[in-house]
Amino acid sequence: MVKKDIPVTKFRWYSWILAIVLLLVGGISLVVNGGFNLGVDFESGLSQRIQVAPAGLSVSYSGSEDATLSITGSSLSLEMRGSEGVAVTLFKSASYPTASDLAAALNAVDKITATAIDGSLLTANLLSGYGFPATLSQEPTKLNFKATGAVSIEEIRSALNDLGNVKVQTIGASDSQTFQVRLGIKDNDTQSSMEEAVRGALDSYFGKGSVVVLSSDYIGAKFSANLLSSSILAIIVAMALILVYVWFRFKFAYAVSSLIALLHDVLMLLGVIALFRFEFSSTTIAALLTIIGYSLNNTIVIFDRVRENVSLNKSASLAAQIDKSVTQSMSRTIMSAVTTLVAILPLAIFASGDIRMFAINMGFGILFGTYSSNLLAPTMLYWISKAQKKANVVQKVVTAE
Amino acid sequence: MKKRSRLVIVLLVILMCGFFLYPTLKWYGGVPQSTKELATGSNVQIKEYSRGQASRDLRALKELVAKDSLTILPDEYGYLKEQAKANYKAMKKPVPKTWTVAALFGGFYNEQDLFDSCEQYYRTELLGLKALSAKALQLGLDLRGGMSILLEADVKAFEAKKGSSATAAQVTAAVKQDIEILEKRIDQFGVSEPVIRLQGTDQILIEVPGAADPERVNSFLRGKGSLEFKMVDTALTTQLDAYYKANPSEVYTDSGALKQPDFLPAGKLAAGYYVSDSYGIDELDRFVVIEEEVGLDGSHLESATTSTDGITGRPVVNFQLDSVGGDVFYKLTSTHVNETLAVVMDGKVKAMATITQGIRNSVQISGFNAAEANDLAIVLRTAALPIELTVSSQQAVGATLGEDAVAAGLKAIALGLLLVVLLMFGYYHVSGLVANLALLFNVVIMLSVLSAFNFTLTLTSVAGLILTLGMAVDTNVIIFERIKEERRLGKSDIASVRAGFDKAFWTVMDANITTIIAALVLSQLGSSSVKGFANTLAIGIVSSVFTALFVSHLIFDAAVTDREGKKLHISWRKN
Repeated sequence: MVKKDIPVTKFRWYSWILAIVLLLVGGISLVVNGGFNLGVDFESGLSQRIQVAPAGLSVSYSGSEDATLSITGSSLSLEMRGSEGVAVTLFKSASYPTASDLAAALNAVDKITATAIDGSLLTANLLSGYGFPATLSQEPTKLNFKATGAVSIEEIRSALNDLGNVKVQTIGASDSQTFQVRLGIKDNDTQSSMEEAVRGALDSYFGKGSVVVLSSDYIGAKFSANLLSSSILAIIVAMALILVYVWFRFKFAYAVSSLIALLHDVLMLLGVIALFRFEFSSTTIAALLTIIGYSLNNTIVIFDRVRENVSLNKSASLAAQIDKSVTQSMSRTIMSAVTTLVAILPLAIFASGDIRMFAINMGFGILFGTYSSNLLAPTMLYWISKAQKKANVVQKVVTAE
Repeated sequence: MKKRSRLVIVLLVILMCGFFLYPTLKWYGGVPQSTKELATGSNVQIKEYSRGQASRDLRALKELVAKDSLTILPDEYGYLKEQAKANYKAMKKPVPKTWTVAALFGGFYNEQDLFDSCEQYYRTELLGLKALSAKALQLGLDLRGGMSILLEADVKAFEAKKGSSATAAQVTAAVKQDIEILEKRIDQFGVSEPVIRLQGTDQILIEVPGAADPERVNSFLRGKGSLEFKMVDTALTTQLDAYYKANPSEVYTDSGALKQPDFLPAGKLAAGYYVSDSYGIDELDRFVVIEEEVGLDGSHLESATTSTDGITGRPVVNFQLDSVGGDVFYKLTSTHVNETLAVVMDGKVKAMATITQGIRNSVQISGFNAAEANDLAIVLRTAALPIELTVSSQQAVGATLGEDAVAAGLKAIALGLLLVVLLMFGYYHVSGLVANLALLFNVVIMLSVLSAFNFTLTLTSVAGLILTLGMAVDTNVIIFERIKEERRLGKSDIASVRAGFDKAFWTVMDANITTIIAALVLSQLGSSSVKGFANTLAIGIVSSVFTALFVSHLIFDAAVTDREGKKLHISWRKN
């Protein structure tokens, strides 16, 4: 069975023109969109994830043990840690469907006082946020319930309007009532002053205790600057070391070609991130570096084949050898891309947050990496080798004279 | 490499994986949730719990004896039999045949001895479990919720205090002292399994898993340890000592705090004299009665160092007081010559010394060994951080947010894994199953290496894990495709397998070495979350090369040599 080789070198101009056009699209969208959508890691300030949810229950404790309340799924668990060990009581929403049922059950526990603020709320909608598991004290702890109401993003914006430099985004479906709030640092702002400012503004607009903070991240100015510079440094150092290794194991032309292919992958992925306004976080850096590793892996497998074929048959032209090598590696290339994509796809669909973004970035990266390893790196190798040969010939002629 | 040596290596690796994974399996599989919660408490909580339980058991036993000393010992106190037996033997008395309550009491020298045995039982159990949990693979903060705080040294304030510019080495040394102090402090706040470590040269990373209660953590960071100098009442101390010795069950309340006996007059306090103990925290050594009134407040302390006395050669602790403190201290010491002064930290007596003369600013305390002197110097320094810290970043994740992410993530990983397994079988037939076996083995190796190095499993390291699974399959794919090609050239199965593995070897090595270069650079230069990813990736690359070149190779060799004449299935197609 003799298969015809894929004419990779013949189509070299088309492959490169397509790559350059796509890179331009990425570059233009970066300019149009006004830079990257930098994640909280890279932009100093306070970033909070909040959910609008009314307080339905307040609980206080007057005893001397360590009492903590935590919410898992739709059930509430009360943990008493004292000299007699740890006692955990679970209140399932199936047994106590409403806030007033739950209040009655909690009141039955020694030294615990629970008051229903809105007894009709369903305990299946209990919400756990920042500050949970909560340590109970005389000071009442409020329990919030997911709301069905429709607070719009505009209302959040106008609530926080006075704070100045605020960005608000909706997270998930609009009926989940969850928002991301970002606040830039002004002079003399500390984390707690910013947190209080946000809380105060929301309380005065929506009523006290009806907004739950799900997570709160604070990034100092120096930290974000450090993170960016250390990430860029990591990428540059990694690429330089890889260049040295490939140079050592193969030849200079191979090293430069593989590096140019890598540069293409990194720039393409950055272009996609700019085009779709994906958040650029430290996980993005991880994805970029993984793609460098993955694409390089692909390129090396093909180059390995080129080197082998060249040493086996010195008379054939380099273009034919390259076409043959790419074709021989094709089934491996496809299998490897498909298995990796298949492992990552469920994460891109079902996972959430950072890990989902990582998977999406990886998916694009695998496509770009496969493209560059098969079409860009080998043709670049062809060009550089040809140029080197020409230079060698010229040099020989010069020495002969 | 011979097949046999390859088999031996594979078996050794399996054994090692078992050894490193055992704590993880035991911790997550065999320990009940309530015990887990107790064991992951801080050492102070464990201590209070053990003491409380011991007091309760001792009281219950005393009640039983008082009611009917011939009652058969209830099973719940059976743990005491062992020690009682040993004591009977040591006392050269016959070991009783039936264990009545009276027989049990006979097996202990005194009540204190019995109390200690009770406490030791509870303590050993929980501390053992705590050690186990430290060896088990732990979930990172992003997966189980918690708080991470990055603190940065305030170099400007440090220089201003010092009066000259500070080198990076000096700052790092001061930050290390801060860490030492924070570690001592954090345990007293009952925070479980905290991580405190130096990051870079001038930053401290603190991670507190579980309860993301910002108030509590902040109070710990702000809270300066209270250090005081107080006078000791020697006569009352002797009386108190005798009273506690006679009534060991009256020493603590149920919550493990010290009981104040009734005979102490107002203005006097019973306090424990503490040394570092088997919990690694302060253990009560004996009791002293101190004045409630503070002789000197620790805020006047400027520095504390250890040195050796030039004449006697014994270790001494030197500390400097500011001018106001010097005046107060001189007044105090000159009026109390030949009396004992106690160094009290957070209500605990940490050191005592006899005053020989009136002292002003520069104080020297002697009378302990080198380790004790060093400890005291640390205690004195703990009163204030050598270099002030500011919050550089603080991130908190609600535990539930983490839980949802974990559930979705795990489901997605399982699905991805399943798809890869099916795909490999679908494409490579039986050989695909070999690759799948290597893949599963790979997961086991990675998890055991992660737990062996005490890495925590974070979201990004899970991502690294998934990527590695893809790469592990890829290594097998490279080899399989090569074997197929060799067979297409008309070679026999044995020759194809050999040629396939030989020719693919350097391809696999080159491809993986370049990737590991990227992983290692990241693990050195990346931010902490990227580091987790890079570490997992690096481990995964090594283990995937190992599983392909050893495990898959071994199975293939066995398959082609032992099943002579049968066809090697590396594809569903007939070629």
